[in-house]
Amino acid sequence: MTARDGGWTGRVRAGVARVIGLFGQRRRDRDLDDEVQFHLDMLEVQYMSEGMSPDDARAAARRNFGAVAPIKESYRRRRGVPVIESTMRDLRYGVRSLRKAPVFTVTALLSLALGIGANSAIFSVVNSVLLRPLPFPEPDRLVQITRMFPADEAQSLDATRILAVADNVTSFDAIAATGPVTGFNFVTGDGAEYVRALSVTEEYFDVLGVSPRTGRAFLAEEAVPNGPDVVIVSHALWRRLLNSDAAAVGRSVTLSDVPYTIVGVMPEDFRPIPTVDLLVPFGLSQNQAGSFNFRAIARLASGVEISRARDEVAAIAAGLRAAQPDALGDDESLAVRPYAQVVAQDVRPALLVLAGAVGVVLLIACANTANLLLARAVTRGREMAIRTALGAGPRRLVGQLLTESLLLAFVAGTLGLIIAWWTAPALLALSPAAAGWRAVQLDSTVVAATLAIAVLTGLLFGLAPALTLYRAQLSKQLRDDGARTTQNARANWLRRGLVTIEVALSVVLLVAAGLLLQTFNNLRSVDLGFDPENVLTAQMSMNAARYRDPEVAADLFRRGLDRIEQISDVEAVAVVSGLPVERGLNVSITIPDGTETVDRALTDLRYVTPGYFSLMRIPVVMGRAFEQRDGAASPPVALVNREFVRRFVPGGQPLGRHLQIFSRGTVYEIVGVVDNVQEKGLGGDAVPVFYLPAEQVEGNILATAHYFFQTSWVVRTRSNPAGLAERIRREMRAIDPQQPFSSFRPMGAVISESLAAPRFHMVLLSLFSGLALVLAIAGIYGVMTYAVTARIREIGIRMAIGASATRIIRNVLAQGLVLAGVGVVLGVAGAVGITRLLDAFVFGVSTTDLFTFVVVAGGLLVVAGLASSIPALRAARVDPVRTLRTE
Amino acid sequence: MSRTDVLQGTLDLMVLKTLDAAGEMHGYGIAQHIQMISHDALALNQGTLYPALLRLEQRGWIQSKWGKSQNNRRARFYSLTRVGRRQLATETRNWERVAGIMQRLLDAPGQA
Repeated sequence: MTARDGGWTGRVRAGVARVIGLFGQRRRDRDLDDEVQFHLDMLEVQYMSEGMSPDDARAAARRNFGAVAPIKESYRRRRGVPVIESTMRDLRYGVRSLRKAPVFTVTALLSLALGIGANSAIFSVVNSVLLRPLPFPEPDRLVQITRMFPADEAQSLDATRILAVADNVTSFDAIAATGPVTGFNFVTGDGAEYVRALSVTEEYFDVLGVSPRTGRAFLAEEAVPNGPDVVIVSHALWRRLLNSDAAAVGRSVTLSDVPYTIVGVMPEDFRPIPTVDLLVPFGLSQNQAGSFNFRAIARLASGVEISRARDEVAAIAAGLRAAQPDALGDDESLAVRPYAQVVAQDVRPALLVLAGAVGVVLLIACANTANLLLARAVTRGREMAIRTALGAGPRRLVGQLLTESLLLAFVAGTLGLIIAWWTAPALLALSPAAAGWRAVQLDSTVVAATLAIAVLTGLLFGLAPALTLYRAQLSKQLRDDGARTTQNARANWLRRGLVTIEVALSVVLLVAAGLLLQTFNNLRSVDLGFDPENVLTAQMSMNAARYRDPEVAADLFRRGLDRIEQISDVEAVAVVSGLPVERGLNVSITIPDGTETVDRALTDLRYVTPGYFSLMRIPVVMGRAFEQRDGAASPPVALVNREFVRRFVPGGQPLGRHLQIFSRGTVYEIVGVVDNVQEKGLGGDAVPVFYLPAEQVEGNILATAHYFFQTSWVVRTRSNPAGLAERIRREMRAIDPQQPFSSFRPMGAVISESLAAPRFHMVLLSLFSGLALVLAIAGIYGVMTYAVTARIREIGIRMAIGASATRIIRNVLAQGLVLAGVGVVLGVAGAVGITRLLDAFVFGVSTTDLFTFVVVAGGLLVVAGLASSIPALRAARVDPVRTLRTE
Repeated sequence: MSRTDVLQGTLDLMVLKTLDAAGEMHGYGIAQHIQMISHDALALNQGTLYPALLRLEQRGWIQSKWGKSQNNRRARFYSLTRVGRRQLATETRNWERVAGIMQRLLDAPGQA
């Protein structure tokens, strides 16, 4: 009914005016002063004209006007937005009070910023690898079909399985197969460059929902076994090796001897998994049955649930088993899983562990800051009491404290983002290659998540002190003299509790870090079985038609070895089809003779040139190594490793026995046994391996080996000469300019690469646990210092009545140690439960390793003792007379 | 002399009506006008006028500008806006209705 209910337009207008009113406050205040003064003056003049004395007139004017200050205040309140204004006031006040306590502020900011920054950095990796959808249209509909066994899951399938699914399935819009990644030498004007290629079936593009930006996808008649030589190139390759040729489609390029016609160029944002430069077509045929080198990806038909696809594929598998009893393994089934999940499955567990660890660090940082705030809240008791006396209600005070906490958290969050910004590239450099197919970046999601973490953090660590204060206010603390003794018992308990939790969490992280540290050390000190010192390796792709002729390959090796041997500083050089530590070609062999025949046993094959074993210092434990005379024309011979003997030659007498690859072709006589070396990474189980002289390998085996693996040249040098790689490259170019090396890596680097993942886990967990330890120790130190300060009078009295300094020290130390001790006990209990999660990450150490637990627990107690000794010594130096007097 | 308190909310209407009658006017003038019309029967702390003026201005019903008073002092002059004029009409109708209701209610015969 009144002007106040003037409809929403009036209200909106008023709201806008109020927000505007937040600005230019000073001028407006002056205006109001002027207006009020004018009014008063006018009234005064009026009264004087009515005959009052000047003094009476002034008094009457004031009376008639009313109390000036409350009117101005109510005017001001109406002018702005009260919540914003009080928040701004709180903020200004917060900034001021934080600046007044620089030690507190810096400590809190530092620990929070590190905590938040670490979380932000890890989250940026988690976001890129696990959360961000795959870079394809409607990625939720992409699935991969995998083989599943009770214990494990295998991603790859063979042609029989894929074709059975493809022929019968209705849940998919399209299903495609991809082959293994292989390499080609892409011939350029003056040489060649190694490029990686993925063979894909025709449906690949439909499944992923991508198409070339120029040209076209593969045709059905191209994606068949032995189809035409056509290729689709990546945008990057098109730019780098084809000079962004607008007429690239239709052009012929030479890939390892063979002319291919470019039929398409992919768009710039196409990110194939795994990363490759080329796509080549292939077709599945039943001839490839039993070769588990293919992956099947599919796009769910729109509206079809993955569960339906699962049921359907399971039914198809059952049908396959019914039709051919041995088509599937005994306990094998086929699974349908979201593509994104399969892609990330290798890195997922580790990332989750790291995310958990870094979250714990943040919790500790929160506890620490809450503790600092609690200590502050207590010393600020008087300030708060005064503000209460001036009319601030408990709610306002709590609001003030929370504003301060949030301010702190927000600044820390911003610093944290900067830390993450700095450390993310380093993190990426450290992270195992598995995550490499996706760029880790700080996008808006990460920024938003970081700020959300910061706000949550602020509330988390701000709430406890604020609530403590709230309670204290309610119990009217103004009536005693500030905050010295018993009334803060509750806050004290809270602080002790928080420190105990900090210690416990640190113990968990330290134990985890200790286990991973030992794992890494164990892996590094694993007996390699060879000597990597001063060995340089060089890789080249021999995936070319000409090397199907063993004589051509042998000729390249002979000429290359000759020339490289000539280089000064080179002690020896040899060729091997796959480096130790890295994978070798997996074949099945038959040992036809002897007491027990071995049929279709899976082993690794490596071909080598004769100097290989002496160069790598791999000891020959029985028989002989290869010699120059083991050429193409001489009797075929083989060497096996000890594991091979243990596994396949029960009598332990392999010499003179024979073996055959895939039960056909050349029969090799085993002439020697060499020691095991680390295969397929470090710390794995020993793998049975047999070696053949490079010159005695049949063409089809050569072709298979070269399809899957690059050939490595290993060079042992006298010293570690710089520029050696360039000289080797030059020699090879002189022999064949189109046979380039794709990489040069010291053998040490090869080993180190294989340790990327454990190193990543170890370094990060060590950093996190180090951070946790520092924070926990700072926490203990803080609490004990505070306890001593708060009890300084009591200590003074005790000393005055005869307590010795030692006794005081012992007392304070004991308190600190009890805090730490309780934390350690809790932490050990927690660690026993939780380090089980690390089972997959440790090597050579049990996750309940007593040594680690003892060292961590003992170490923490020692450090906690040291941290408490400083306040303890301070307590001992208390001068009883002065203390009592100042009170 | 017994003075009547200003009924909650009626101050706005008084100010609007005053400005409608007098055109441009400063706060002191408005206060004088109200006091004069009411024959000093209203217990109005003149200072309370200012928050009300601000409120009305924020709603867009009145506007203000700085100018010179008769005695050549810097003063703020308020005037009705077009919206304010409409609002005054609405408020007046409302007031008359309520007053009418009250009147009828009070005119109704009592028991004793």
